[in-house]
Amino acid sequence: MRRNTLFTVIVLFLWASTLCFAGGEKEATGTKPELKSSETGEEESSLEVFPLTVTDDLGRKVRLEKVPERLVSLAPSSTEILFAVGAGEEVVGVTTYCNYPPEAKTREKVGGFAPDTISVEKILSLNPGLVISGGSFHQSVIDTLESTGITVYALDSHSFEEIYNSIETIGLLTGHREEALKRIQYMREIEQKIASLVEKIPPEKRLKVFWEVWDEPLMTAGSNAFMGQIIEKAGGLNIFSDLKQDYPVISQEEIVRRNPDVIMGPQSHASALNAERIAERPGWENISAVENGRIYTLDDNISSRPGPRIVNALGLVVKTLYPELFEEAFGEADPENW
Amino acid sequence: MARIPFPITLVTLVLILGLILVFSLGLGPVRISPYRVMGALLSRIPGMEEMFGVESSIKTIVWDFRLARALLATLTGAALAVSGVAFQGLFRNPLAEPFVIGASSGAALGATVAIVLRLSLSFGGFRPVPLAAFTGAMIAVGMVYIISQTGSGTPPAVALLLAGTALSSLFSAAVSLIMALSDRDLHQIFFWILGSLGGKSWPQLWAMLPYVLTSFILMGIITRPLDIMSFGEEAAQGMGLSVRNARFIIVVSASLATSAAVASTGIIGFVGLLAPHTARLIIGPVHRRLMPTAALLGAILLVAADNLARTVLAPMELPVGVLTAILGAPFFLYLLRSRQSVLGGE
Repeated sequence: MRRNTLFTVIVLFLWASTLCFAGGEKEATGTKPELKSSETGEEESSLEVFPLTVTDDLGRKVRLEKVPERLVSLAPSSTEILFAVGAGEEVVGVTTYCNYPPEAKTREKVGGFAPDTISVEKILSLNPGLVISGGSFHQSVIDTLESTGITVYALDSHSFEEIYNSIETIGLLTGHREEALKRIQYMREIEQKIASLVEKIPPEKRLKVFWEVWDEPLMTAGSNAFMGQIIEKAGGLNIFSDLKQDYPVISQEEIVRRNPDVIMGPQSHASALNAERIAERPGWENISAVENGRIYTLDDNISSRPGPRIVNALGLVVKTLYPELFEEAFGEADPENW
Repeated sequence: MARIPFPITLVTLVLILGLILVFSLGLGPVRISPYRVMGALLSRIPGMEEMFGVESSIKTIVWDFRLARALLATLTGAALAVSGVAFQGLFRNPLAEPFVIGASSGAALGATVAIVLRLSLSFGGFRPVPLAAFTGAMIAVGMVYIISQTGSGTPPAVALLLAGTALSSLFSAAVSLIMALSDRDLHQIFFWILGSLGGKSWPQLWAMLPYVLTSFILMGIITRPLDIMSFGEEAAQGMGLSVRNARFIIVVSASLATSAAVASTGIIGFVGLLAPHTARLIIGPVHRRLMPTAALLGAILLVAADNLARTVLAPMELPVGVLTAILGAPFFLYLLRSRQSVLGGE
């Protein structure tokens, strides 16, 4: 039946996008660069580490003979990492979703997000020294690129630590290790500052947060999803942290029963996620977030990408949940510009 | 096989439906005792608000979520079942289902467009995505009808079936294309297509009610023509029936019900096959009796399936369409093996 074929296609896509956007139940293959020179304290130019071999997030051995001069990124998060470590100049190809930093939009487009929308021919024509792909859902593209002799490094981060590791590795691979380490230190400082800030919030003052991914049907973020992790790190209590799935479909009555203090969601869902529209939902008027008008949306480009701006996302959530606390520590700062 | 008299069948099914509806009010991720369910139900009667001391969140859960949802399941199940009966009768084909002439793929395309473009237009109680789905379904069915029925004389019903299949393929391809191009909305589109009663309440029920009721009234009119058409369209024509007119009313009534159902709940499969065939087995092929029997069976099936959908993995929900297929397919296969004459349309 026609519909079944369609389903298969959707299931594959769905599975793929889950793997890419946030943490799955699958084991992370850990980004552990085999070279760890910074700890030894040696002042060496990153150029000297080539040729080098590293293991990527799919467990593949990736060998680079020299610093790659031309880079292609197959995910918005990788593009952000490349620019953040100072390799932006070398980036020649990106996806249609790569809109940050704005400069990334000027690069050649090699396709969209799903493997079927990526043009291998276009990538070949750009003659890249290294392609940064997503995780296993990009496998078909990785295989094709590999068979033509192009080096691919697969990135698939599911936690803050894995993101730090991936930034360090990308820095190493592109010959920008020093900048990568500086960036990581900057991010860790923000993360730590926020951690010590929210540590002071007593358990009874912590706000219960419902993250609404979508309303038809109602979907939220589980404890493994990025947003689930960010909410907890920001001192909030994700009301569905008991669910391990990334984006579970949940029942309306549980939301009412768990009675969140704050409802948040991605900006792309703002047409349904606002005080006016939520007031139209029967039975929601008794939820404390609705009574107190605490309904917010967050730029998904910042909050859904496992890249350098996760600390910005973290800052935005803290500022939204605990504005006074945030002002005490950061003043008028806008986390979007960190 | 001796058949149970029609009135007894009807009363029995109504009782079963009533019981299962009451049962579903107490069932769910939040445990509520029968006494408190009753208290919550009565608390909306003026003068009895405080009598049972039930918290407002429990009232909300019983009234706005469980009751509304159980009634929505009742209406949707009945709508899909009678549409199945109508299309099986029209095409004299036991495999015809409510979505056979394009309602589901039209609705899917409409919903996909609304999700991707983030439309925010609503009308007549339908929120943006259901509105687009309803419109898509009606446009699809309308196109299929016009394409297949133009020309002189009375084209065979199979033309409708073929045009429906072709257009469904086209619309499904369009959905796939849109999904490939806007891969970030895959989750939403995927779950919409799967079909679910999750998160639905009174607005969805009120939105679909007028269309389904209109359809039920029309269904009452066409039971006799459907019986006559079971002898074949030429024979029916010979008996003085305007096949063309009858067909038009059948298509309109079945499509109204199907489109409203699919818009409110997404694509829920198998109810439209399972309920009519089981009804045929119980009460025989005469449409005057078949229609209400199938409607009740469809309602019972969907309310029961939805009870499972919202409880087995609570607080998570399963798409009810998946459950109707998991429960329905084995039963259907059993029927196929044991009662081939019935499924063959006698």
